[in-house]
Amino acid sequence: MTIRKTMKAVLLLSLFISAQKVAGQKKYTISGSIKSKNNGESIIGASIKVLNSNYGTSSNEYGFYSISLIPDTYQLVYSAIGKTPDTLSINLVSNIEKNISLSEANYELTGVIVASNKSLGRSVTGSQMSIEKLSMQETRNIPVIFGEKDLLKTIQLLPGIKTAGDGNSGIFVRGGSADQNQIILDEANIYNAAHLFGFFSTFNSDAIKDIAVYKGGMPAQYGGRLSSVLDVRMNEGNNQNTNVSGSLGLISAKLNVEGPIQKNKSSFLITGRRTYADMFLRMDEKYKDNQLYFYDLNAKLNYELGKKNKLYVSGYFGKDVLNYNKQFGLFWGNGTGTMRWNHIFNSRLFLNTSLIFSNYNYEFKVKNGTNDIRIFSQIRDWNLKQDYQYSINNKNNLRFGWSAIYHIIRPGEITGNATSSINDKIQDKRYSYESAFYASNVYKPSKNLSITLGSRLSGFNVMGGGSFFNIDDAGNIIDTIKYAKEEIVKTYCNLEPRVSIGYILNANTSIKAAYARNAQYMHQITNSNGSNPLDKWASTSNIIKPQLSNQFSLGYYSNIFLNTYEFTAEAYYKEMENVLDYRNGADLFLNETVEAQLLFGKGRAYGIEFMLKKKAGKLTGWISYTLSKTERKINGINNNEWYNATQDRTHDMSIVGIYQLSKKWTLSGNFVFYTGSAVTFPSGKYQVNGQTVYYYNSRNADRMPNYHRLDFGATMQLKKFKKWTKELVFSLYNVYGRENAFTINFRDNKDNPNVTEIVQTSLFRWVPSISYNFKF
Amino acid sequence: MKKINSIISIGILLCGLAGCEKVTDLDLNTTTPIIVVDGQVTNNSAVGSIVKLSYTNKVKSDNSIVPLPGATVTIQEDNGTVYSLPEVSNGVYKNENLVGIAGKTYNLKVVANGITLTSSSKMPAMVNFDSLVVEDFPNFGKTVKVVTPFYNDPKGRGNNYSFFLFKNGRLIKDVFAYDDSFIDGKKVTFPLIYSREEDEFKKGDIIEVVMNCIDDGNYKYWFSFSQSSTGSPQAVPDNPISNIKGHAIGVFGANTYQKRNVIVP
Repeated sequence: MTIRKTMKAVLLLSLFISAQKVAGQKKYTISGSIKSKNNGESIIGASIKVLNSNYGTSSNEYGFYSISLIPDTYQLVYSAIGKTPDTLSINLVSNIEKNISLSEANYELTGVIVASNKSLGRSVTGSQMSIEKLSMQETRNIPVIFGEKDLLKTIQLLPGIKTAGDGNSGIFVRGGSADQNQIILDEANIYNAAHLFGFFSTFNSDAIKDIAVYKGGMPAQYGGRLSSVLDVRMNEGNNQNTNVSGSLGLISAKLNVEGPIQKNKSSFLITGRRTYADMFLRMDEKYKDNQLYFYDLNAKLNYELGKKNKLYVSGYFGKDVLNYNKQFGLFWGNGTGTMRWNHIFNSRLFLNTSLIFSNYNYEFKVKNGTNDIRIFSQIRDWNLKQDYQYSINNKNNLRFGWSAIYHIIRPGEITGNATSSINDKIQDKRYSYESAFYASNVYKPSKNLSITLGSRLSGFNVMGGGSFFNIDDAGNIIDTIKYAKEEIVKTYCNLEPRVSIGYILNANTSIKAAYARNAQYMHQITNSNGSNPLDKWASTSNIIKPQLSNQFSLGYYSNIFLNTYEFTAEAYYKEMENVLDYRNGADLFLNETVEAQLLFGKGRAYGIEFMLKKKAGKLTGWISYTLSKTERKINGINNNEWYNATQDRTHDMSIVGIYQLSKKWTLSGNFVFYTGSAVTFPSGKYQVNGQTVYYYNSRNADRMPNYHRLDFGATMQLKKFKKWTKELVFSLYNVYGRENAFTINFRDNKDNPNVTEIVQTSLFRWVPSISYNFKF
Repeated sequence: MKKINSIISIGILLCGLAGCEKVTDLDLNTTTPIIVVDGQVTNNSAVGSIVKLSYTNKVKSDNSIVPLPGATVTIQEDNGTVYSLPEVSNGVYKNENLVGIAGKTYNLKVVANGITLTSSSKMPAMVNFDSLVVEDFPNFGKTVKVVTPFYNDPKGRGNNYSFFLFKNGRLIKDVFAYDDSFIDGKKVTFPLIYSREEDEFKKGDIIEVVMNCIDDGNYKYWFSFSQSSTGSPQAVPDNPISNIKGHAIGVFGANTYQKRNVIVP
């Protein structure tokens, strides 16, 4: 059935493309790469516009672009955020290559951020919607907790993206749960993007070039998660000059070294970060045996192999260490490696081949008395994929490719020393293949209309090599079946159509609509709301079905006041199938039959997002507001009726302002308000065997108190000394010291155990910080 | 593994250096009172068999029990003798002659206000409570005293245990429930680590530990209680999984009962 559907889709797609080919007048192609002049970094999403026409394109993830036009003389305008646009006159009589280097827009000279080129109003043109893009450049002045710049925290200030909690880098996108975000760093999946329980993300801002967040209408090359794609790209390294930069902050130190291996041709980048807050902690006698820190390393090499080939090798390694009194030790971290080969077949066909490795594991050690216990778990991926980008003609751009991932999960292993009270237990490894084929065509039939039609066909093979179970409705195991390693236990297949349409109403206004279906085969089973390094990943199995979602979105985009302001509004409706929750009283700890502890159901989320952004002038920033509803309906929870998901927050608002006071000072501030998360408070209590037991009536029918907070920041440029630039960054988190509730607990009063007290714990009040950044 | 969660909370608090607690007030929903069954059959004649019936109370009221008087309570041993439990005080039903025997199933029947409630529990084989020792336990820069019960888990899965701690005759409000999925056939030496600072043991304190061998239903109850219903739950708050049939909550268990005590040196 599904296969027939796919065939149909592919057929339709090819018809669509071929229909456009008929027009046939001889065309030539202008292609090349777009780079930043001062450091040679390729520019993603730079705009290429043919002046006085409706033709245009943008550079891909590797800075490559291609546009086909009939012979004529054209004016081409190349532009990108933060860069000075460049115009080129081209007399097109044959295929030509134009490699462009754009220089930095000089803010320092004018003290004012230049009004962006019209074509940079990214939201108005094209058919892609529900996307947020941020470059490190744009986030550098926004105040953050502990002064630790963090992309995942900054994107929480954008509409439709909600924070997992105070000071937390975890996110919820359009009503999805945390594991429904696909977080990829140079294409490698990051299974746990959190350091220190979510207070910091795994992304060291010094190593990152930019991030694109797809909240809906995901292009067909992405797949595997329901809610969003966070595509994070690392810097490539300066191929012009060797640079050393770094920072000393309240909690961490960073060092970044980059430079050319061969000027203009190849470069390297190494960035490291280590927190040292625990060193202060250890000065206190009370905490001297405790350790709590993390470090991470990013490295990248890129090498041009002639004109047609480019090789990138990048890697990430990060680790968190928590040692408590030599009694408990908890260590966790991700490691990834990506090898990419760009190949230009000709001016119209571009290929990227990637081999990607990703690993996440944790280790937990407990020592008490004669017990010395170690617990270990790991998830590991090997991924091979190819992505072709083919510029068919000036109206059609086709992208197609395939991907295959081999997942190996070691769900849990517990081992003890000879004198311990436990038996060693190694759970069966889980093996699976996740594969996909996709094709997507961007079709621009007229100046005003852009249509993207694509589909992804994804498949998942659950492989043997262990025991699988059949369970009844109550979660009891009926029988156990052993499969050999090469045997297929079960195969799933899903067709995921992706359609989006953009229509330009006038020079400054457009409307867009999109539909996307997504399938998710890897699931995180979590007992907590924040990030817990021990949260378990489980692959789709004979019992756990792939999660599916359908999302419809509609948007309005406009540039107003000569492009100084940008106003966007997007509405979405998303439905989800086979979402997971766990049973009441579930014991997920090293449980072989996780499936027996789970419940399945559906979800729905809808909302409307508004954003008003001021893009130019001394004062820049935005106001974003989201009104939304997120619900779940799970068999076995809340009498099988719809209930609020934890991340359901009716109102969510952020205001961000950055003011360039002088050449020396930049001031900034942000204000955040959101409705408290949906939680379950007791509606009664009673006594059993002398213990106070709380009685709960309906799931998530209560609310945490509303959250709000104001932060200030200031950046001071210090005197330049030769090539040595320095700046001091000050910030104050939670200016008015609001006690935002982190948890609310009920307990017997200490002095009068006969009385119940409600206790609110809050985390961060008035967190000042200072960091020193340098570069030479 | 409650410990893992608590270590994570410690981590979170270490991160949130400015973390602070305050007593607050909230508007809470209330429900119509529901019947609570708190009953057990033991193999110890001094403890006997006792069923307490009560109603749920408002969260903001005090912790005293709202008793349910005037009910008819019977317990049948396997398919044999039916013992009736007369009301000995308000809401408390007791029969001193009913002393449980390992391997036998006890069937509870309660008729209260025209509602019938039933439950059953099989008394497991008793595992000997070998000894109880006081140990040092490092806790945030200071060393506290804890007690460790020693016992040998018999080979073969299916043994479950619950422990209750008393300090100078007063119950410490922490629940310790274990199954044998990790300890099967092993000598068990895990300390019982209490959570509240005010419960800290001092020299001369008399610590009593009650060890119950419990059936699967009772283990589920106490495990889910410790995860979800303590007021500061480790998991999403929910009611413990009750083994009472009918419109009521609570637990009924046929448990073996052993008690040891130790004086903190």
